Amino acid sequence: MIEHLPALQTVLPLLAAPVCVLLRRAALVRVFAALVTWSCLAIAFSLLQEVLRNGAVSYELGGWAPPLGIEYRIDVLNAYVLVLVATMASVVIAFPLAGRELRIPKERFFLFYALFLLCLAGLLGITITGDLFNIFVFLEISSLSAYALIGLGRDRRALTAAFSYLAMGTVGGAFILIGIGLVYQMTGTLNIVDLGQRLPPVLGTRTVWMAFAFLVVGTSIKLAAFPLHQWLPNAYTYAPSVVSAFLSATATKVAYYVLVRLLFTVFGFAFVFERVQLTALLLPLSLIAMVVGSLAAIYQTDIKRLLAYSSIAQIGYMTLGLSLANLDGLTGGLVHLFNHGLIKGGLFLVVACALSRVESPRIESLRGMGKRMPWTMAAFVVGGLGLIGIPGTVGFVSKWYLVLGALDKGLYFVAFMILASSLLAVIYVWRVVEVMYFSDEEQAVERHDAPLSMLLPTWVLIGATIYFGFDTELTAGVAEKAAAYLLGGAS
Amino acid sequence: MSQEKPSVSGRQDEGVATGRRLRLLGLICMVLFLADFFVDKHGHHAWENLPGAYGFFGLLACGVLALVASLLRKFVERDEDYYD
Amino acid sequence: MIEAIPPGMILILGALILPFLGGALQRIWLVLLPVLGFVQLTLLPEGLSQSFEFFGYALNPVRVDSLSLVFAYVFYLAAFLSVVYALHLRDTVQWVSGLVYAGSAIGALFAGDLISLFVYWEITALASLFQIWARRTESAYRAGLRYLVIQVSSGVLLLAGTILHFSDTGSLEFGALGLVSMGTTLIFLAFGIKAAFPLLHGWLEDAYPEATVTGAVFLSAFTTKLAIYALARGFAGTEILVPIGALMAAFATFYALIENDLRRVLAYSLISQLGFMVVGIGVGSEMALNGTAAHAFASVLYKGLLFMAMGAVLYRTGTTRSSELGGLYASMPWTALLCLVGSASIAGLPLFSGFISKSMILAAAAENHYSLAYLVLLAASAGVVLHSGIRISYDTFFGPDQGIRCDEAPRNMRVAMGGAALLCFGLGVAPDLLYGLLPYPVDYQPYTFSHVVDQLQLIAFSVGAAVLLVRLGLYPKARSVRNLDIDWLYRSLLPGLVQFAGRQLARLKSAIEARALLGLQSAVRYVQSHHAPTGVLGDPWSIGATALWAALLLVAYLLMAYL
Repeated sequence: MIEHLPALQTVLPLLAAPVCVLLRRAALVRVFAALVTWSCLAIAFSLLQEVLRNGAVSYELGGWAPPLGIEYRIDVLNAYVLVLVATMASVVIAFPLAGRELRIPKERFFLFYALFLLCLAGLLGITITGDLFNIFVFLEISSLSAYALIGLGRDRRALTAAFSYLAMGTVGGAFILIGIGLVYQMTGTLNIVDLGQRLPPVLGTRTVWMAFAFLVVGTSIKLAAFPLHQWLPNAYTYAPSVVSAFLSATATKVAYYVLVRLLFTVFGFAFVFERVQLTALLLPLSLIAMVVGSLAAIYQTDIKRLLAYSSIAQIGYMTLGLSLANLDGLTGGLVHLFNHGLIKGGLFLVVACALSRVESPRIESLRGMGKRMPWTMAAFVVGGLGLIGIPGTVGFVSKWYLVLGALDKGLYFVAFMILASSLLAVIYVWRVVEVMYFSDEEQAVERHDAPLSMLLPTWVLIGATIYFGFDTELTAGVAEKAAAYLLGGAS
Repeated sequence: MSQEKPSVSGRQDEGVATGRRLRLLGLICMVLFLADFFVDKHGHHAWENLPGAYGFFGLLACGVLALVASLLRKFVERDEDYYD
Repeated sequence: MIEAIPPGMILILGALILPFLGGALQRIWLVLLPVLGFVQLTLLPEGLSQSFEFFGYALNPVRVDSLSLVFAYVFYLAAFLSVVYALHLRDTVQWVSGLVYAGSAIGALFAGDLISLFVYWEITALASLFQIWARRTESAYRAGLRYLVIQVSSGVLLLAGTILHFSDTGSLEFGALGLVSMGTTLIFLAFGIKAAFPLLHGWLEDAYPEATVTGAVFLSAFTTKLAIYALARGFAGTEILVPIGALMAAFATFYALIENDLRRVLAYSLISQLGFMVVGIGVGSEMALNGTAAHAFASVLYKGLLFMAMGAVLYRTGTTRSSELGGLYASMPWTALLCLVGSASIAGLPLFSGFISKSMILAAAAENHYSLAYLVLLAASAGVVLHSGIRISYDTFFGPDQGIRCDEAPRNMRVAMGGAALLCFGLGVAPDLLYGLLPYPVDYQPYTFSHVVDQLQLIAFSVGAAVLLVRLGLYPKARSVRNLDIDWLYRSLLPGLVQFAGRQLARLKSAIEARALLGLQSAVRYVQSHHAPTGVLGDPWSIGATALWAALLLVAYLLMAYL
């Protein structure tokens, strides 16, 4: 049983999804889906434990030896990402579905849970597998279910948003597939570790260059890296808030993981940062993303769209860490992967709480909510502090490593930009806080907060943003190990 | 009783200090000046050892300060609701 | 056991309980907290040090030495007096923020590393903000925002400097730093903002007069003196501080002389007093640093007393405009008397606290041959008699009656002012009480015949000068005007420039649009029909745009093969 944990990690949710459709009864399905998701979390944690104790785990699917067969290979990096994805899924699944946010009636909620589990299976599969083509397959599973999840939004524009995400996502998927094909043509293998050994002799060829460009651009679309981010704002705005919470905390993070894996394990540090000079392109784009995303967030009138644009800026931080390509920078990028997942997931759940009492997600409609929904709004403030990067929150931990990484390279300007864009975050967080707490209406409001079943999962995430701001063993500690592993294995 | 109080800062010029009060101030200044002749001084600068040095320095300093401050007004003074 | 709690934390944690208490219990708890804190302080063993690991960096949030202790004692006194002064309020927000503010300032005094210092530094900034916002007026709100931006910038500079300093030296310890690198220079500027260095002082005279009656009392004690402590710890003997301090003492005197709002007069007078301390730090000898600590101690008390008195006037009459006040002695005799004690202290009248502290700095400056600075400080001492003596105390309470009749200050205010006045007088009579607390052994005797005579002469002749100036019509009378200061840059010039730039940009944009759109109008209309709110997407970029960008990026990556 224990040795089959890696397979269970993806097979469990994948098989559970059709079971949901068979069960049909909303309450039943919900409990079932939650149990499955929590089992996934337990598996992810035990895999992380195992990897930290005994090093990388290799699992041959169906008993076929790699490189011919498909290998599941778990090292400290993807064990860490598995834990993030499973954690976020476990919290989101516990959050009660609000009928007013979904276009399907209550008796068909089982569809939501089926899609959710499919998407989870896809995301976990991308992370756990050691096979490039397998990554593509799981990527499509997760993407297709994500399109459908977004399309569940009550607003009619959710469909258009899902459609444009689908179109752009398909372009990204196609790019990745072309890249994989080219790599396969040059090496005859799809196993990631094997590729890392067979690619170096042919790295100089045009075909590998092509493959590299297609793979990086393709994953950049999935990652919503600037300027390929335009599917993201609409998708997150019109999707049901729980879906936004789940996807913002996992989908782009997994894409980031794929990018890191491609750059460091497949192509290798020397090729990517010395031959291609990826930094020269990725660093400016990251900086622009940080500024443009934050500026755009400042001007939004819809709180979900504000959070979505803030995500684009935060993804900029993550790619910035990547482009610095040193220990502190990469640690910063990886730790922000986890930290931003917590913050943004938590904040979208706050929005879901708010939408249980407020009609529209417009910022204006939150006027005076600080008194009416004190717990919900307090959660927003704490999450917002994390976005800004106040010490004592996880945001500070990420930025600290990023600044150290930038200074280590002597890039004072970059360090300055990190701090400057934090100031922009102050502004867009403040805009919301001001409306919530400092609007003049003096009318007596009675407290009418979101139900405890919603507040509890929300505060689990928001509380975690504070907890991990102090205890950095699990986040920064593991991220640093992963970064050292990637850099050590590559150079 | 406060009605007869003189305005030293001169918000109302007609309310000049009354004689007795002024004479008292003059007396104090004189006594302090005279006392200086009996003090064994060892200041760090030569001028400090002159009798009444601090008194006259204070007098001079206040004069200069008031004049410069009046000058400063010409540059910085605006309506009270300037920023509104 | 009580030493295990970091100093200041009693106030912070205790304050957080405050909202859950009610009635008399709340007030008792409020007054008890600073007392408890003070007791804890007396039990702290000197040399105590607590440290822990924070993701790989050794932090040292508690480090007790004599320099920290002397500031901490007076901070607790100030917190106690301020709390008593604010006891009549029914505003938990002000109480909580005041205590958190005081507690974090005390915590900062004991921070042994720069990161802990930064954390407390930012908490003081945030907590103190509510002392301004609690006034609940539009102008207080705006002044508070400006205050916040500048205070937080100081924190950001401190953090940036800390990071640079750390990458230079690998040490986070907060000890003597000196102006040796980019990192320490940024830290110096961060301290300089809070210490109201010239050109960095705009926030102080802008925000303090906008604070609540009780808020200004809290504010006057902690922020600036914390900065003085930090400068003394990090930059003692940095020579540039001597001219900076002299400049502060001088220019603030000019402004104090022409200002009408009495709390703004006090704010400028506060800057001028800080100038003395900054000179002391710049001189850097043991006596100068003793003098700085002593003067900070004394000035917290007499400045607090003066702010309390003016607060009481504002509370009872609704104004602090000097041009509208006069003859208040008849209505508020106690306040008048206690305010006079404050003025006597700040002017350095023998038997009052300013006399025994200020003179140490002056003597140290002379001893180390900073003659020009000595003269400037002496002139500023004479100026103090005019603005903090005559304008604040004499004109308000004994000047020509303006017909205002009001009640005496509330009892709790009188008690707080009385306590402060008693301390001012006590320190003046028994200076050894204070000298015993100073960081270095004291070899200084304030009460020599020549010093007493010199100081009395300076004061008496300054009063005489005032009389003469009035007679000659040269005295700057109080007028209800607004005097521009450095904050004009960001309150008036900057918005103006932004507006100007915005207008020009709009003109440019419309000019471009007029030309460009002419040709494109039909095309734009076509696109609009798809992108208007009723169209397919309310979003400017479509799927096609993303595909285009993807293609462009692809080409960019490929081109890099040829670089």
